[in-house]
Amino acid sequence: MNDAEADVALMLRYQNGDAAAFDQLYARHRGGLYRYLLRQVATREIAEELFQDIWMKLIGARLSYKPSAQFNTWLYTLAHHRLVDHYRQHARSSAVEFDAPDLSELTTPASRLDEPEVQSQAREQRSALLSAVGALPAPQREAFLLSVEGELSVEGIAAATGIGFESAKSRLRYALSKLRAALREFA
Amino acid sequence: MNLDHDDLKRAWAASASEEPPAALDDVLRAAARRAVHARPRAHGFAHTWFKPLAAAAVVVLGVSTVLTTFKKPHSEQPVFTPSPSSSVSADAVLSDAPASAGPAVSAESELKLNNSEAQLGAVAKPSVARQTTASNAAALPAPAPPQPSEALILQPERERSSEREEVLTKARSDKDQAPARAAPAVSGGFAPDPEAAFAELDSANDASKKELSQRSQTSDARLEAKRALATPEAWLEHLRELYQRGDERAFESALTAFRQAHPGYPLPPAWLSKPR
Repeated sequence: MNDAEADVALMLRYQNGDAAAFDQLYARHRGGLYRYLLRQVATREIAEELFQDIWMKLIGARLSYKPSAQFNTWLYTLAHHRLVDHYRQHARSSAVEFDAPDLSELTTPASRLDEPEVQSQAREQRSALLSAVGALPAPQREAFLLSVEGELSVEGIAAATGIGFESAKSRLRYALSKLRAALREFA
Repeated sequence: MNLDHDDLKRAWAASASEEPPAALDDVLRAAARRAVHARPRAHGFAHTWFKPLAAAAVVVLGVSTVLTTFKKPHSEQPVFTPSPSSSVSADAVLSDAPASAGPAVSAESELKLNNSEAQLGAVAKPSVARQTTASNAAALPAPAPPQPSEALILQPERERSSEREEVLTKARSDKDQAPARAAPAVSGGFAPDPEAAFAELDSANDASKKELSQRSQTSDARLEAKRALATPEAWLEHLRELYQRGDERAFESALTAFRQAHPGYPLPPAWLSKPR
């Protein structure tokens, strides 16, 4: 059973009253959803508020869930709608400033961490990537985040954001192209 | 190095590793448990009664609208089915035919009409009734049943003459044989003289004829109005009939109405001058 099928099975179990299934489901998607929100709103507090709203909405709508689509597509559709509502309610800040990444959780191989040059380069690359993502136009940024955090395919991105397949593909392609350009100097 | 999508994903995963606070996790897990253990919301009658009610109301309204729509024409135009036992003669139909209530004229009645028409010269005969066919008359409402006096008046002249002769003969013989015997109860059993009785009857007939003539004139006027809706050719045909018959008054009124309805329509020059 792949991840998508496992998500659907967990959601159906939760729909039938199994609270433990929700815990598993939540553990699988909490990080990705949180970062998806965090990269698109101004502050951590707003991201937490939206994060809570989305999960509460999912809990409330559990009885209406139908396994016709992948669970993560459904979850990020809820997230997209909540984000749009948030944008409508509040004038969006012109630039999203990300919190400083936690550099203590580096995934660089431990054998090379001791090398100061490698450490420095990895730090700069991550910083450049975060800045590049923050500089992307909002639709392209959302497409990229849905791809990397929600693990959605192009079809999933199109479904979650309510746009056509070609538009979603185009947004993702432009986003990746810009990010590659930003990281080229670290290559 | 050429960064592909997977490389970017890996780089992103290394760069972004934020997690929601543990307190928020607890809140959400507790909410999920509460939702599971809470009683499911009742979807009983209180939440669902309005849908079937609305559907039923729509059905009732639709059916009643359809019924009302299809009933209306029947109530406005009752279909007249001629009864074979009807005692109304063809002349009664002819002289009592109102414009808005033309009777159904059967072939037999039509025949009677043609036979008796020549004899009833004095009685006003609406020319329109002659043109009434069984097909278009069937759609018109049934005429009111004639009064007994009218029925008597409207018998063909020939029949009435023979009856009259019969009664007179019988009365004379009765008078000769038994003068004291009561005469036929023509006028309440009091008038012993049949001649006087018939004279009285004839005067009553005259009065009724006048009334019927007036009625037929009114009917004519109404039919003229109806003819205005028909084609000018049909109207001209009707005018020609009136002209040939010499019915001046009817012709004049019909011609005036026609000229008002069709001012520029060419008319025979003879009609524009004083008719016969």
